[in-house]
Amino acid sequence: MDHKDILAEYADGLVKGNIRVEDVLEKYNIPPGSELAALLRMAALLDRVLVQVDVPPEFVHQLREELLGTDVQTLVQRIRQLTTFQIAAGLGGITFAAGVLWWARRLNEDARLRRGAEEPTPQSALVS
Amino acid sequence: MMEYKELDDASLVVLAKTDKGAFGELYERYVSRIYNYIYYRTSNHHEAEDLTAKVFMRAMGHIRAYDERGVPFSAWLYRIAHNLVANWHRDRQRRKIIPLDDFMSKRLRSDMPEEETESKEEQRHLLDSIRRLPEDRQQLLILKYVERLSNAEIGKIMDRTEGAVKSLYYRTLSALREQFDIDEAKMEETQDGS
Repeated sequence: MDHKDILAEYADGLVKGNIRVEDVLEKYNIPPGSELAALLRMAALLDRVLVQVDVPPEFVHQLREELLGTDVQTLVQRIRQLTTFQIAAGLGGITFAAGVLWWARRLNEDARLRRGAEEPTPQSALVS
Repeated sequence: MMEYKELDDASLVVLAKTDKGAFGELYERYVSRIYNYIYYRTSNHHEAEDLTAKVFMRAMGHIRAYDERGVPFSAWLYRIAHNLVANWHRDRQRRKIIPLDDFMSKRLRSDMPEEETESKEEQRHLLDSIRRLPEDRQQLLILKYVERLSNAEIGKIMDRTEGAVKSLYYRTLSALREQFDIDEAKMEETQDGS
């Protein structure tokens, strides 16, 4: 078998993760001190050193947003993906927040009216 | 609702001409690979982010004109990345050292046999030797070992036959070994001198 073919076969095995350099040396009866053995070891070294690096997730997210944006279509798709429970919970939350706001505003209005009734008007001050 | 994940690249490309969601799925499939390819070619995370963004911006801008005949979408993306990296090297003429900490990979794990674990110095040394190779040889090694592609896939990206890729791989390994030995001898000389 040609040296090129042996190296190509070994590289494919490395990529699949199911081969050892010793197995290839033995299979093709390659002397450990030969040029071909040295090239096979170099390939094994490359396989261990050239590895995938992690891509920062925030970069992936940000670039996706830049490319695709958050248009109305995407928003509709996102809402469609929500479960009935999530939609109900969301609507419940909005209703509750609106209720709290209305109640707080009402209390504030009542207090203002009470203060208005108790304070002397300019006319009553003149009379006294 | 359309399940993009179930579609192959070719179908997604057809949809992506008018549908951003389909392009989004292609983006998810390839962003990490393109980033890695550029990172190894530039040795710099900041440049990798910048150029990866340019690759996908360009791909999105030209997707309507892209025709899959002969060149799969993935190969098309790598070609865009390759051209941008080549321009980057031409414009700036700079080669930085890859930060070694990033290479402490999952595969350099503690259960690896002792004779197979390399020192940081040896890894740095190998990466330096790779960087001294011609551009097409660096590209081949990255596509083969980082991207884990077959010779047929590499051939489509580099516009060569499978046989030509095999020959180039053989010549690349021989040249790298030679370069590695020269660098190692220099390193030993330096250590002896100091």
